[in-house]
Amino acid sequence: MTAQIAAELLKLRTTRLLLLTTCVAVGFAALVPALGTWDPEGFGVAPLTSASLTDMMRAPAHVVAGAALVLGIVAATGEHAHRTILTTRLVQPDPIRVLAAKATALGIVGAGLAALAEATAAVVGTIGLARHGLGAHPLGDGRPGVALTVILLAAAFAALGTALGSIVRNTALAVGAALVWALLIEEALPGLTGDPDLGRWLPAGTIDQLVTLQPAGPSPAAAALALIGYTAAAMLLATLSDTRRDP
Amino acid sequence: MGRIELRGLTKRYGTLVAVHELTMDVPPGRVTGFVGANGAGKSTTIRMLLGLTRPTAGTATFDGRPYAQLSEPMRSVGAVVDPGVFHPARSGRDSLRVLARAAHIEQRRVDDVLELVGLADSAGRRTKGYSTGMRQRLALAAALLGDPPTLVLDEPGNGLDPQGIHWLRELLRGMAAEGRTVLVSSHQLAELGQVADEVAVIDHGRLLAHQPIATMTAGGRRLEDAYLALTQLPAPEELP
Repeated sequence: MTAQIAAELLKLRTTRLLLLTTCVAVGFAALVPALGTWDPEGFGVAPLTSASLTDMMRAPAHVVAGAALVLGIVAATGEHAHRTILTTRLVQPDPIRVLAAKATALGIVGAGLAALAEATAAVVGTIGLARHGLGAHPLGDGRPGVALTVILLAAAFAALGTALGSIVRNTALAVGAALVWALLIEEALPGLTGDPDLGRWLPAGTIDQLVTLQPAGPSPAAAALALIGYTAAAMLLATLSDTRRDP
Repeated sequence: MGRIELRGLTKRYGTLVAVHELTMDVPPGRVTGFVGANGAGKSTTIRMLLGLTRPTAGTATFDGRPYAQLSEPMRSVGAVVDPGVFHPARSGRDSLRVLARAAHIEQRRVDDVLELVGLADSAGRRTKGYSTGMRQRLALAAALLGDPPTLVLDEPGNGLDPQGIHWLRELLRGMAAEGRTVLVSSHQLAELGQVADEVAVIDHGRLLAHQPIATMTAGGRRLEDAYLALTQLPAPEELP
């Protein structure tokens, strides 16, 4: 299993997909604090304080989780698009082990991607705030907790993307489905069901509950459990799909 | 070492019978040709043998074990199922490194097989720039990575130039001479006639014959004529 995970990590390192998603996530993580501290009034940012660094570290959560999700989707669907799934299955005939190794590798990479983004946001934010004479330590005021939450979120979304990609097997369809879900269905469901809090329980909604600690809706622990449940359910569906279909 | 056994192997897609109760043994130390027209069921049989397609009925085993139950598949069976199984943005060397890492094969073996198939100079290039013949050589390199006692190759000569065909012929003969089991599917009868010790003919998913090539070509008959007679097609010279 360790060899399978190492091979999956090597797959990611030997194409440009990882570089591209890292650039998007880290670029966004750098841009938000850079612009926010460059011209706070121009960008409508609340008056800067030392605590602003925490918000700057929360800001990349959605983009990093989205990038990790797409990374997972493309890593899984790419196997079918390029037919590399055939050689993958010749090396490891057990589809469950293949899926588990891929999800684990993507989880590790997603976490690494988020760690890099969080470190970038912390460094750029600290430097930007210092320009305004505000001292903020990246390891103070619960910021490591924020960073750790974003890291775990990214790992979960990368695994979720891997499962979704394994089920759908088509990149455009899987990415499209994820976008439709996040932008349309999660927005519409609370209205359709008449339950305004429902959105906080859905996959994208859990990001806000976990990162920004909303007063309403599920507690962070409940939101984390909900996200773990979605990921586990998607992995179960992907396992059933992969064991019943030929590669 | 590496006897392949197919027993009543059957694959149906709805009402279409792709492979029908195919039973045959592929012995070690010989090159066995697997011949049939396009759509005859060769690739489906090979995919079932390698665990890539689930049979409707029957079994396919290597020394009595299905491919999925081999403890180290790449060290037991080297397979070419399709030359187009490499990520276009990954280099030839990296494509093999990924497989080697997953199969616990030492990385220096990657360079050895790249040298063996004549791709050492272009191993650092992305496979999207490879010709069909180069992809075929890379697929053969992947099959040889684990130095397996059994080779299962689906149309390995497709896309190879005359030098490549000659090289492949020598490689397969050498592998069989070492006592390895070699199963090669092809519809290039003339080429197969030069390398195979025995031939299995499949048509419409049914095994029509499995004989030593000397038996099929007894009396100076060409392999092509023997094949056409078995499949009841008119010989080329009888065509209008």
